[in-house]
Amino acid sequence: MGEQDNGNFRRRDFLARAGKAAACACGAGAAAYWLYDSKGPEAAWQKQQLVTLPDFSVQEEPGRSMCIATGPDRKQTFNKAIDLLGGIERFIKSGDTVLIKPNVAFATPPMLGATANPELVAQVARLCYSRGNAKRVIITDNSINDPASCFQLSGIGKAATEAGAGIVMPRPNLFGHTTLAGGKLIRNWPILYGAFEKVDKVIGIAPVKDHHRSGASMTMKNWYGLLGGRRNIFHQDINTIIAELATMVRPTFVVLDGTEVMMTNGPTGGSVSDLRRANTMIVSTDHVAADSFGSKLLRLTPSDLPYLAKAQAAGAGTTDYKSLKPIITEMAG
Amino acid sequence: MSSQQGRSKIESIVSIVLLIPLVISGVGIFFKQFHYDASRVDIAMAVSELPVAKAVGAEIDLASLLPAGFVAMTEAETFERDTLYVKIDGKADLYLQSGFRELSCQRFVSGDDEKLWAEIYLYDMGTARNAFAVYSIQRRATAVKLSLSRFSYKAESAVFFTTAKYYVEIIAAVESEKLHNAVLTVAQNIARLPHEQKGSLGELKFFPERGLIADSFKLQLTSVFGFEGLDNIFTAKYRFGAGTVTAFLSQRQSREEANEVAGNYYQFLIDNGATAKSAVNDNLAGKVLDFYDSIEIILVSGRFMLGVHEAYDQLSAEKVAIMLKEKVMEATDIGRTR
Repeated sequence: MGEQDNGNFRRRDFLARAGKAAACACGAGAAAYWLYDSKGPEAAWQKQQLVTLPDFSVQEEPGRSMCIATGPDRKQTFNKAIDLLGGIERFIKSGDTVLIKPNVAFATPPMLGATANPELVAQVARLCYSRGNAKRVIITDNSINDPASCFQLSGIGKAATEAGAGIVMPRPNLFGHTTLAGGKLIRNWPILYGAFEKVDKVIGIAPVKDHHRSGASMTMKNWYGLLGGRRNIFHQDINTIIAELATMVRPTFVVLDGTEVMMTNGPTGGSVSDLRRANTMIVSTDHVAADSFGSKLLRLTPSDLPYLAKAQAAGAGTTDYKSLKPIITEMAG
Repeated sequence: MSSQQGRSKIESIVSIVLLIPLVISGVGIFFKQFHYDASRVDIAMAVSELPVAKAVGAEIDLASLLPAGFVAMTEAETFERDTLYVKIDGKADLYLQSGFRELSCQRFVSGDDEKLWAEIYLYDMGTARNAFAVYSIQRRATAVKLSLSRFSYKAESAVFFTTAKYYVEIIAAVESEKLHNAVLTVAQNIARLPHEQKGSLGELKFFPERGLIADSFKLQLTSVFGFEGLDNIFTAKYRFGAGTVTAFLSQRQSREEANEVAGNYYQFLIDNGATAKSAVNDNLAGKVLDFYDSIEIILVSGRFMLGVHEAYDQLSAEKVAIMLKEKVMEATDIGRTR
């Protein structure tokens, strides 16, 4: 009776199997204990130090903060405007490294006006070299839509390269996390910080466009292209993010190209019939003022674009562009 | 003894069969955890954009629709609801609010001139109604009507049209006759494909033809005229006298709903500064409002809520409103039962 045999199962077998099962359970438990990470995965940004973009602005000179040049030729109007503000030499010093941030958001042809005009971008780069004696000019944008295609099909890649500028494509290792002091949305958020390393001056170049979500896309919205991450979530609070971007970036100057204005179906457009010739070029050290004037080209007022007032309240510039006493000049057609 | 051995063997085989997938799963989990993607739980971590799927499962093979002499320039891509912004950024909302399902894109280029390229945007909007909505809202002022489909036009170098549930844009990179002809051929090839018809645009027949500005129809699906409570509104423009009048119409589920929506819209206008006015025409059984020097008219006829929006001449506005109501009554049971 020491070993019960009920026909197919004996006590010894039972004990042996129970022992093996217990060993398996203990082994699995030990392995789970060994592998268990009570802290969980650490977000990469927590390992990194937060970064802050430097202030790239230059000393203000009363009456030389903003110039509005009218005329059909972008090169001429830009050259004239920058000359009237004191010349490129006022902004770019010999040996400077200059970063140009054009709007290269889409892989669309230049004809549609959804991206910065390639000839204008090239002209700004050329002037930085030829008269500003810049050591290096680089061009970057975290294009939302396949950066290589955007730079190629917009024509900006080729035009900039021919002008001697280098293209910095957004790569994961160029992004650093930043928190905007007092910011509501830009908190521990990745920006294209690496492109700004060793950069002395920053120039923004943007076309004037209608924007389905924000009402308008101009120089302030252009800084959206510095954001990484799944930045589309900011579209839910588009006015705040644009105002915060304008506060985060202190450019040397911005170029707002209203030579052709995308009046409808922005920001992508799709047909040249979305464009209106306004023949206006704005160069300004104050991007809030530039965009406030730009709203007129879209037949809006600054109050139609709530992000302008928000940016002004945050100290990013003034919506009262007239207070800057803008220089107005007209070029022959 | 032999039967016990047989059972033991079967038990062992069953155990092995059960253990193999468990071991495979365990090994898989072990290796996968080395590739933890923080961006899945922390959206700020996602440096690059969401992966964009290739159009492997797209319903239409766009490359097969290219004319002779043109070849695919890039692989086809598809964008879904959560990746649409990658392609069209701030315009994505317009589509997402209108029932968007999927966008298929492909660029094509001339075999002998790389400057001659164009891109096809094929938006699957789920229904013909949704496709018409995004088509009509974006219709260009310089549109030249085409015969590709009921709703089709060209605007300079681009072609825009709807076919069944699709809204299609084909955008040329440069002005060129050769490229433009290729764009038209691709458009024709897409329009000729057999497509399942879903969703009707039956309301269009209720708009009277007298004074109607051709191709001025629009369908706005949400937050119409700035009021969140107003949806599914068809509008059309009429030329009356010196100015134009925008007529609107919406078919609701019931007479009660039509009355409720009309009442809410009326209250919205009043809350925002409109003042009630008397109708000039005694036959106008509806509400007339002065909204900062423009005229708004709201009527209900059976399940239809209709009226006039932002008119600047009250007489013309009332005339259009009455014409619209009469057409609705004539074309529905309301008219036949009277």
